[in-house]
Amino acid sequence: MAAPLPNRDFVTTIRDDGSRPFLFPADTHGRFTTVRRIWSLLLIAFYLSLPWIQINGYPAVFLDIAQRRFHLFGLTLAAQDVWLMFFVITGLGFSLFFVTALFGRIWCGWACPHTVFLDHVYRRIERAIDGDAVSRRLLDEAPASGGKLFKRVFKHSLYILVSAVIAHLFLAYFVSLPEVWVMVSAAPTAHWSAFAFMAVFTGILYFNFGWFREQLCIVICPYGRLQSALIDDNSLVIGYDMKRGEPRGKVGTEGAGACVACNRCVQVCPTGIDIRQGLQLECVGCTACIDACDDVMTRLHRPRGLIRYD
Amino acid sequence: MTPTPKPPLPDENEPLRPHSFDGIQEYDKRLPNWWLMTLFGAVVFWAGYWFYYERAHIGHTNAQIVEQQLAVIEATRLANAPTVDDASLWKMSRNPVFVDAGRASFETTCVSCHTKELTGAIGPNLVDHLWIHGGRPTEIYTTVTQGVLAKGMPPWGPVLGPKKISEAVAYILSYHQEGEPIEVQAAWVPPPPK
Repeated sequence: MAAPLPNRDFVTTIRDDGSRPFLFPADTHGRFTTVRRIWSLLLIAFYLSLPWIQINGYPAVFLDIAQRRFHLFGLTLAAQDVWLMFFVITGLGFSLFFVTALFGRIWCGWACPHTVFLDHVYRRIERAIDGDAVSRRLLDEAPASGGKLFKRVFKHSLYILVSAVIAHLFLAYFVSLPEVWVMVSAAPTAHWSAFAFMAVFTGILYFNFGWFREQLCIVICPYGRLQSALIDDNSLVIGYDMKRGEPRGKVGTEGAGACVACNRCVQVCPTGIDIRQGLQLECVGCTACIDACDDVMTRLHRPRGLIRYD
Repeated sequence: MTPTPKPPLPDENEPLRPHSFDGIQEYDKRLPNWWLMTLFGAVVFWAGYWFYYERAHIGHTNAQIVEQQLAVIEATRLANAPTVDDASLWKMSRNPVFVDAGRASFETTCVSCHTKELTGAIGPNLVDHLWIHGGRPTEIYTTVTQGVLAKGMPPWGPVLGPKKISEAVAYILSYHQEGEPIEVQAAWVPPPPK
């Protein structure tokens, strides 16, 4: 069953009976999609490479919990330096608030690991195996068959494989790569707690990126809920130009605004909202609707930017 | 021309939460099913957790884990002490790591003569207050190390080494209290075989 049309009175991805309509957001192409993809791949490369880079004989980031030594880019901190965490945490909190006041949810769309891995790793795998949004929805509604089973097994195996890689690299931040290698080479029972952590963490990643997805941003993440307290009229957010767009109408309609009611912005939205209804809690600022609308406007030889950062 | 969709008017039948702040009210919607599943799952987990830690005491509390680790540290320290004296042997006898290791040695080496209950058979009783070759910890240690060949006690020093002997003596001492009376016994008379 497809998701209902977005409405501000309910969350698109939660039905009245509490069940979850799974979204099949359409592909986007354009300026923001390209820049965001390159940027995100850089971020992923950064994340995956940090444990491999040696500075002063230690990995660039090595939070050695067992020895209570925290190596950060050549700086080594001990347990008694924990008081510095006060400045780190308040500094991070303040930075997040400050950046939010100026640039809205730039973090969510461009830097949050959840979005980065979801949009640029897991959704890419899904896209490669199951095809575009329409094919994915049809495959989801199709009755069980050999081909569907094969695709499902293939896709979920890749999900689990990628999750395991991310989890192992994450563990490397805390025990260093050589130690991860030692533990991976040994039997699971030899490093039981590390193995359990790894299995559980891989499972959480797999569940989160394979199924949970936008629910994390909408229901769990507190940052989204705080938005109304953090932004004001001058914050940079993605919005729909209502003055230019309304009233909606097909090309050639007398008195119609720029919006042709093609609903492309709704089809590409990964959280299932209609951005034309204004800024909403669900919006993670992923810019998909900007590229989708710009694409349509360009084809109609109208100036782009009906939906834009403003 | 499609008219601009207006936000739907509030549905009279849609249940609202009773509270109202600055005139803002919220709908009383059903929680997501996955959310309810985590709640029920947490309740089930709590039951298992409560049984494991609070009821059956299968899992160790943090205090017990710390105590175990401190015992391991002290055991290492005592085992590496340059000499053994009465005080250190008494300390060993109160350390569970040491006593457990000593029990293992005792039950493979000593039980044939002194019995599993240490009450003695061929060799003398080790849990009463009567001692033939001295009841102070260092005296017991010397007796075990050098043996009393005339009475059939072999010298265990070359066989077990000082660490295992310390452990075994600690195990024997774990049946005693520091400062309890030590009486001298002339000779051990084995009890009649049952």
